Amino acid sequence: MKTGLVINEDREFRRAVASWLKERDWTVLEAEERGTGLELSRQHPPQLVLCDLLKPRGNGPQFCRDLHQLDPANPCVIIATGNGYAPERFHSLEAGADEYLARPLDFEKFSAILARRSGAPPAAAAGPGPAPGSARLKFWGVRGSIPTPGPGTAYYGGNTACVEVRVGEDIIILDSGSGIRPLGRALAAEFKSQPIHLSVLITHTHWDHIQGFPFFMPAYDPKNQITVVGFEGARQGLQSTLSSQMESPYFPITMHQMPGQVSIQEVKGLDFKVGAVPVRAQFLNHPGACTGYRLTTPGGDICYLPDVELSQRLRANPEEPAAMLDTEERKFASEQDLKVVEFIRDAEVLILDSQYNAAEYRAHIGWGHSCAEDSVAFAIQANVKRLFMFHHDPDHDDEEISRMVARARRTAARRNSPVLVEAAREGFELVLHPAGKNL
Amino acid sequence: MKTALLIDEDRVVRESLAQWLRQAGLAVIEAADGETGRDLALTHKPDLILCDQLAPRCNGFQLCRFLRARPGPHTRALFVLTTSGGYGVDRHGAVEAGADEYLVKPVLEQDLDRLLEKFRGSGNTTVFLPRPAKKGPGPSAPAGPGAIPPGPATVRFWGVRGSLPTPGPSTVHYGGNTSCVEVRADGQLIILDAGTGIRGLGLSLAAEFKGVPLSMTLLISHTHWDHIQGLPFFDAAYNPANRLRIVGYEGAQAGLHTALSSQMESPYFPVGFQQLPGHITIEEMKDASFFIGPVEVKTIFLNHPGVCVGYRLNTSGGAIAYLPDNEPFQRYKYHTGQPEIAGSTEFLRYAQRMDERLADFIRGSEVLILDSQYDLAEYQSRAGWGHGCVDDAVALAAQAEVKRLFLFHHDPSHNDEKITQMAEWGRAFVATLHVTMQVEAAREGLEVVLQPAPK
Repeated sequence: MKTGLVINEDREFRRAVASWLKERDWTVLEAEERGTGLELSRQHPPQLVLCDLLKPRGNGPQFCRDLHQLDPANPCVIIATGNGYAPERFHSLEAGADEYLARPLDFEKFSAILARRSGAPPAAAAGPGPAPGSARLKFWGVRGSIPTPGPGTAYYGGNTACVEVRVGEDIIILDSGSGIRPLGRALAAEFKSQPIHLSVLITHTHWDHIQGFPFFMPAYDPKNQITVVGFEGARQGLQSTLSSQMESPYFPITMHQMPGQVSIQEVKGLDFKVGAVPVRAQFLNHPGACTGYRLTTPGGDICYLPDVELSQRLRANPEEPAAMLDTEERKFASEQDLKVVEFIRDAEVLILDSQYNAAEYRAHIGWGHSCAEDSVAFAIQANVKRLFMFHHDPDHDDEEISRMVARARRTAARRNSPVLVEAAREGFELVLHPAGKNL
Repeated sequence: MKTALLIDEDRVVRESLAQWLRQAGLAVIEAADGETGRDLALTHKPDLILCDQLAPRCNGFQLCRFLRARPGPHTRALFVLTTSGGYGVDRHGAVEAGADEYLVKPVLEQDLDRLLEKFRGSGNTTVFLPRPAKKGPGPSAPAGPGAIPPGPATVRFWGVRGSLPTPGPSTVHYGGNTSCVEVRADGQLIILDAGTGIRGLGLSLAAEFKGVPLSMTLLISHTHWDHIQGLPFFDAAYNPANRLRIVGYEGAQAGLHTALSSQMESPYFPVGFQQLPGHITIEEMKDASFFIGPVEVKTIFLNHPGVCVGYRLNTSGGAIAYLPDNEPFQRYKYHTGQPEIAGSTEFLRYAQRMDERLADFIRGSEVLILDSQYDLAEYQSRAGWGHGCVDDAVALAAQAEVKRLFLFHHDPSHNDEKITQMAEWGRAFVATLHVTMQVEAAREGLEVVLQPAPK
C-alpha cells in the first residue's frame, strides 16, 4: 500500500485530503509542520507528500532534497499547495517541489497528477542527466551589455548571456557571455576524464555574447570537441570575429592555441540540426546581424531571442511618429512583428529580451532592445507557455527586476493569459518533460 | 665590414653584447632608446639590429614594423627582437612585426654565436648617441572647470578582479569588477585602467558632480580586455562637457588608439568610439615620466605578455604605485628557463637585476597596488602566465619599504573567503620579516586616504 503524507497546519484541510486518499487505498500520515513531517517520513518513507507553500530562499530546498533522498527506489512526489499565485507556484517548483496545486484543492487535477506521476518517476529524482525523452535548461548568464558584479545583482546574477540546454546526449550552449566560465567549470567537474562533445550556438558577436569564450575551461582540454555554430556577421565571418577577441593586444592566448578541438561552423540555411536537435533560426531586429533560435526538444520547443527590439515600436519612434508612417511602412513593420510571433508560436519556453521597463524604453528606442511590456504581449499573442525575461539591464538591481516581473505578471493576469512569467536567474534549472507532461 | 645596431635601455646588457659582437668582427653602434635606434638605423643602415622588445620611446615591435614598412636597404637588416619575458604571444607578435629572430634575455654567448654565423668581417667603430633627457613638466590635463576640490590624496578601488568580471554571491565582499582605481590628488582626477569597475565610477561621478563638467586623465597599463572593457560603459565619456585624456603606451600589435577604438566597432559594440560625445584625447607616451598637473607620473615596463606598464604617481600625500599585472622575473626565469641555463650565474644575476629595478621603482611608496593573483601553490602550475603570487608581492613590497600593500588582480576562481585567507597569509609573512608594512586585499568601494606629508 502506498503512503501519503499531508503536512498542513489547517486540520480541516488535512482531514479532507486524508479521507480522499484513504478512499483510494492510501495510508495517510498527517503532520502540522515540516519538522514533524520529516520525522514521520523517515519512519515510513512516503510516495507522496502534500505540503504547504515552499520558498526557495527558506529551508524549502533542503526539505525537498531530504524527502527526495529518503527512498531512491520508490521516489517521493512532492506537491506544494498555496493560493494559486504564479510566484508561489514558481517559488515552490524552484525550491524542489515536483508539482503545485492551488487551494481549495481541485481533486480532479490532483487525481490527474497522481495518475501521471505513478507512471513516470519525478523529475527531481532523475539525477544529474536528463531522463530520456526530456530536456533540461539552465541559466548561467542572464545580464545584458556588461557583467555587473556586486551585492545588488547577487540574486538574479550579473554574468552576461549563456544558457545551457541538454537534450539526450546533446549539450547545446546558447551564447558565450561571461556565464560560460562557471558553466565550463561545472562541465569539467561533471565529465572529469571523459571527453566532452558540445555545441555553442552564437546569436551575434556583441561582446556580451562572446566574451566568456576565452575562459571556457573545456576548450583548454585536448580531448574535448567544441563546435561553435552561428551565422556570418555584418562585417566579417564568424571565425575572424571570434578569434579576433583572442589576439594580442587583448588576450594572451590565441583561439588557435586553445588545446581543445574547437571548430567553427558558419550556417547558411535557417533550418539545421545541432546533434539530433532540430534548430530553426530567425534574423532579428538588432544592430548588426543577430539571430534568434528555436530548439525542438521532446519536452517542447525552447526559443531563445536574447537581443531584439520588436520592430513595430521602433517604427513608432517619437522622432518619426507612427502617424507619419505611410501605409506601406506600417504594413512592413507589422509584418516584421508577425514573423517574430510566428517564430515563437506555441513554444514551451521563451527566453526573450526584456531589458527595459516601459518608461526606460521611451528613452532607448532604436537601441535594439525591448521592454518587458512588449515581451509579455508577444508571449501572450504567440501562446507561449513560459516566458523568461532576459538580458537584464546593467542598471537594474535585483529589486528592480523583481518589480518588473511583478508588473509583467499583472499584465498577463489582466489579459487572462495562462503564460508563466519569470525573470531568468543564474543557476535556475528547468526540466522539460515530454509534451503534455509539463505543468 | 658589417655593422650591428644594439638598442637596449640596460647598459649592462649593451656592454656584454657589444663586446661579443666586436669579438666576432662587427662594427657596433648603440642606442639606449628606440627613437635614437630608429635614427641610427636610418643613417647607418646596419646589417644586424638587436632591439629590446620594451625599448623606451619606441618599442621593438614598433621599430621593426617601421623599418619593414619602408623601402630601401635597411629593410634587409636581420632584425632580432630581444626580450626579458619570452611569452608565446610576444614571439608570435615579433614574427608578425617582421622580426627574423626572437631571443630571450639574458642573451648568452652561444645564442649570439649561432646568430653571427651569417655575419663575418673585421674592424670596429662605435657610435653611441645618448638622447638628452627631457627636462621639466610634461603635458598636463587641461584645466577643467569642474576641478577636484582640494583635500588629502585618496585612492578608491572600483574594480579589483583580474581576467574576467566575476559576478555572484561569492565575490560580493571584495567585488567582481575588473581593474579600475580612482586617484584624487592635488586637484587632479586620475583613473588607473578601464576595466568594468569604471562603469560604477562613471555613475558615481555623475551623481557627485551633477553635470558640472569634469576634467580627468585615464592611465592605461595595457590593453588586455580586463583593463579596457569598461570604457564603452563609462558614463562620463558620454557627456560632451567632460574632458577625458587617455594616456598609455603603444602596444605590441597596434597603437593605443586602434586598440581602444577596435573594441567599439561592429560587430562587437553598437556605439563607435568616434560617436562618444565627450571631449576625448588619446596620447601615446614615449617618455618614462610626465606630469598630470602637479602630479609626477613615472612608468616602468612590467613582466607580462605584450606591452604592459606600471605607474607611480608622486603626489603631495606620498607616492601611489600601480602594478596590476606583473610576474616577478626571478620566479618566471626559474620556472620557464631551461634548467641548465636557469641555474647559471648570468641568468640569476640578470633576473635579480630586473627585480631590483622594480623594487627601486616602487621604493618608499605610501600605497602599492600589486598583482597577487595566485597563492604560492597555484603559481607553480601557472608560471609564465604573467601574474604573481602573494608571497612574492609581499617580499617585493617589504624589500622596497612600501607602507601599505594592496593585493590586486584577484583570480576569478577565488571567492571572498579565499582572498581573506590570502591577505592573512600575507600579513603573517610580513610579521616574520619584522617590518611594519600593512597588507590588505584590494576591495571594491574601499577608500584609502593618504596623510599629507608634514611641512
